[in-house]
Amino acid sequence: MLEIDYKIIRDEKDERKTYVPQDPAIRKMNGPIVCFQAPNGEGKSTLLNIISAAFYGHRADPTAHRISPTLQSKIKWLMERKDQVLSYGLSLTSPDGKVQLISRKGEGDNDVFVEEIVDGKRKSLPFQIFKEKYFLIYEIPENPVEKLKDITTEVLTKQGEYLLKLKDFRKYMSDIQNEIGKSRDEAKITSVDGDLKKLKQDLESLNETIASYDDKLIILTKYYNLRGCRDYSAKVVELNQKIRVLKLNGAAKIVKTKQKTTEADSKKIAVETEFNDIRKNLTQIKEMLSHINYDEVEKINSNLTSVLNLNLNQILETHTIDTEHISDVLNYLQQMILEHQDEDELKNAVTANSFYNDIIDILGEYESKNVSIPGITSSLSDLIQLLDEEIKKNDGYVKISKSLTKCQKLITLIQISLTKLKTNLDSLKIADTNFSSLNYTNEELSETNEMDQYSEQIKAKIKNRDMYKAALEESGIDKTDYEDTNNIQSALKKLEVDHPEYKIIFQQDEEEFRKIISELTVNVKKQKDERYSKKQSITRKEGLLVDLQSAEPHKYRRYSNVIDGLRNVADNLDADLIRFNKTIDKIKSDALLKSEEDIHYNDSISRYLAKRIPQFPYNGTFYEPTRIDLNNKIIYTTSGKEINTSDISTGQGMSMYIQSLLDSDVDNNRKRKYIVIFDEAHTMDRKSFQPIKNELIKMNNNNQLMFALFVKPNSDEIRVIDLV
Amino acid sequence: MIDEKEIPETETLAQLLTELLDDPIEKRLLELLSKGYSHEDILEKLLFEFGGEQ
Repeated sequence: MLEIDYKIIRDEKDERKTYVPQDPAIRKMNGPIVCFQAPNGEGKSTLLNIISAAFYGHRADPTAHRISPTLQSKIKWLMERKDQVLSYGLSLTSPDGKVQLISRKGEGDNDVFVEEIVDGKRKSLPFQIFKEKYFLIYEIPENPVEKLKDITTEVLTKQGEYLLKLKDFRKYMSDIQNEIGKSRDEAKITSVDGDLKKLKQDLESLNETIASYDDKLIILTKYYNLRGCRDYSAKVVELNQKIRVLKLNGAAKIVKTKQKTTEADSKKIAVETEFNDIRKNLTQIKEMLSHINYDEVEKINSNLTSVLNLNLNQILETHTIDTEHISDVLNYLQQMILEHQDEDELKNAVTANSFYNDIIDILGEYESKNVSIPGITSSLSDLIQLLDEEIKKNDGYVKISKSLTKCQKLITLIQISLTKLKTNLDSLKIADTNFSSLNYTNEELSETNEMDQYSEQIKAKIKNRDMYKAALEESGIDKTDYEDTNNIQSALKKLEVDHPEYKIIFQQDEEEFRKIISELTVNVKKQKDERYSKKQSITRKEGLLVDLQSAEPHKYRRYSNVIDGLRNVADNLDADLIRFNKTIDKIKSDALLKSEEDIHYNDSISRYLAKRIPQFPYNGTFYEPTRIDLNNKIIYTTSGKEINTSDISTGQGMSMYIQSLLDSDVDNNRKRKYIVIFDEAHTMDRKSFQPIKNELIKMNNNNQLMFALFVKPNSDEIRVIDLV
Repeated sequence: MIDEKEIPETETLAQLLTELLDDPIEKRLLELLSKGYSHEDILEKLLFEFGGEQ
């Protein structure tokens, strides 16, 4: 039974008009299957839209409703329009009276409020719960072929549910796989334990190898270093002996040569010293004059640079220096400085400051005493302060004056250095001439050269010997073993006796021996690196073993591989269901099905749709479909008749469509109760309506129907007819 | 083990879809999902039927 009352207050600009149902027949309908007839403009559609909205129809969720898109927009508009306020109260009671749905909306409410009373117990019925227990169908006749296609939405929705269930199951499987991965694995424990034992054996063997290589390396290195030390010491002795002989042969001449060389060197040093002094003093002059910043600064710099750029090596080689040019530069500087010192401002400032300082000294002496200067009112302290300020004003000139005086002094020093340099240069020339005029015989010169070569060789040999000594010391060999030649010899002999196995290596020359030691060292390092790596592996494996042994067993561990396989199966099923969804889309959009898989799928879906529509009228006869092939637009029937879907009338199409909707909960085990509203029902004739009525009666008998309302226009009056 | 009598019939659509699948395990999985078994029960049944002796 449906009871409803509503009020719509609409702002129509010229007035606020209130609409309420006028006829009491509208407010109460017994049902459960009712045909409602009223003239146009009596508010039939408004009533149906309100009933739909009362059961969340404005949310248009395909899992809770099947509402034609045209009607969906009307319900939304009803709920959302700003120029009117809707309020209503609705009660819907199931035919057996056990279930009552109450829905209401106050004028100030934004949404509907639904409650359910079952066996006298009243509780709220939010949307999530509503859609688990009820299903609302609200339809209007539209293009029949398109309506038939809409049946595929049922398939898509159902497949979507399977996909969701499968997604959860895949997640569950993934969790199980992870748990198994972390659980106790006896096979892995045995395997890791085996690996660990093998690694430890390898390490032991490696340790032995390294120990033997280490011993060999120590012996060979010791022999090599001792031998090197002995051989290079002997070479040093031999070379020293040769030098001694050469010295005995030509000692006097060597002394003479030495004296001459020393004399030339000392003169050379004297020239260098004076030259450097001149450069240093000129640089200082240049710096001081640059601070004064005279107009002629460029000329000053040019003159100074010409002297500073003189090449010492050239002077030493040629024994000459351009003293005339240097003197000209110095004279120029002296003259320029004198001119500036003679400037009035400079002189006056210097004189004034000197005077002021003298007075300050005198005033300072009497400042603390009670005296004053007649005719001057200021105190001595004030006078001192005034004089200080005057001194500060002249400070810049005084500094310039001091710099100029310093420059004059430096010029004087340069002149002295220049004279000394000239003298020393002459002496150097004589010394160099004397040295080159020494008359050595070829034999003497050759001996001298030979001696020099021996000296160089000795240096190299000593370096090598010391290198070997350092190596011996570093390796911890007792010093007595290599400080004395006899001891070295004894140590070498002992090594030869103790280690005949290395005899051939002991006999190698220095280069070959060094190579052998180098290769052996590389080899030992390689073995040690490998040992380090093995130790690391052992540590890791030991840690892994502890983790593995401490893990809890898992009941599916022994099925690990099977579960991996099942997970793959679940993934494949996911891919197949997604493929099925794509095929449904193709069917809906009339795309040509090419693949064998798509064609098979279409065939299955055709049979499925036929199961959803028990019978339908066509040209005065009822037919039972065996396949409804929407892709090829043919309905196959049990009688063998094949009907093209484009030949189906609107009423017939709607009849088929509603039948399929009424059967839609078959895959939900018919758990939900249906609320069915069908507008413009006059498009279906008695025959088209009959299968729907049959299905509704069946549903009513199974307690699946809450209420069914079919609406038709009537030109005379409002009538409500109970169809059962 | 789950009592089969308590389990609803396979859904009509699921039955038709299983016909399109080649893999027997995939067929069975879809069937069990459509019947509304819990994840644990599905896994138990699949292991029992396809796991073999481990």
